Amino acid sequence: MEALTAAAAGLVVSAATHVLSLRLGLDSLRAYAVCFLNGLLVAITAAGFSTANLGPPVTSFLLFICWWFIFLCFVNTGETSLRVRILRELLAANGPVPKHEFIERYNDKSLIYIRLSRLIRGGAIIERDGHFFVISFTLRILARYSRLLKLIILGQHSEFA
Amino acid sequence: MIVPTIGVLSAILGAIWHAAIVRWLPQNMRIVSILGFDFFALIIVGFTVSTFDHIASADDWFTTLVLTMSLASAHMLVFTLVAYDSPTLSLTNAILDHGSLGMPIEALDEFSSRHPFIESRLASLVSAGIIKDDGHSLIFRGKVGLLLRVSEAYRRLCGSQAKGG
Repeated sequence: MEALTAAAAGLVVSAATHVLSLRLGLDSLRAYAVCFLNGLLVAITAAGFSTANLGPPVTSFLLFICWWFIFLCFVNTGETSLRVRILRELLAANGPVPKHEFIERYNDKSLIYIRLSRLIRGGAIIERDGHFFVISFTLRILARYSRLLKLIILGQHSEFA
Repeated sequence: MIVPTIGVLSAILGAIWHAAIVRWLPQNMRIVSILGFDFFALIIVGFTVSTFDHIASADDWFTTLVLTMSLASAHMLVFTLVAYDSPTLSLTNAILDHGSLGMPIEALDEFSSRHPFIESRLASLVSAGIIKDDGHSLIFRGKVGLLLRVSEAYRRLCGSQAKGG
């Protein structure tokens, strides 16, 4: 149980560090990095690092990585997820929402323009002479890799194919 | 090291089985089935390894179960990117598909009409029973209300604002 407790302690420290970092004005990426490293340190040391018995610290490390990733997804989807945004709107409406009104307000065109603006602001995509170009190497790799995975695992390159 | 060994081997075996048959699973089973595959893999791997190296305590088995299910949960989240198109990555791929000439601004409308993301997300929320669509209106059924409230509370704690879209 020491690995479970150590990983849980690491996650709690990680979440607390994340909140504190953002409150102190750190940007999102740095806050994630700081909270991850802090939590990982706690998770490994609390499990009792010993070269004679690596089981507990390795288990704690693996558990912390999984739980921190779930935490990262939870925090990130709260910010940017389409599903979460839809649910927030429906929750706030406190009753039935006319479907056609909802679709008009949250249409794919405005979604794409918002995402595109975000990418241009972040410098991953540029617009030149009425054309868009991807200049971020990381984004390029991620996009192609996700398409490749879909092709290999699902046999199609898009859910809309 | 027996706990992490069994946990990781189970997760890998479960992932391989899942990858092999997922394309034939119904859409609403594709992600959640990962838990089942990993659990079944844990039984197989745990039984096999324990014939060579006896796991001494219920504590170890419990930790192994938690580790395997944690790895499965992380896998489920990653697989969401495979099962559903990310608007950002789809847009990126669409731009890259235009090659060195770049994607013309006029092509954006066609792209958004061929990628009904909102409809897809609504359909998945309806199929999960989180919202109800009676054809005229959408109704929140409250299944994940607590999770949403926790998420909201955490965002307020961080002092952050939601990004639209």
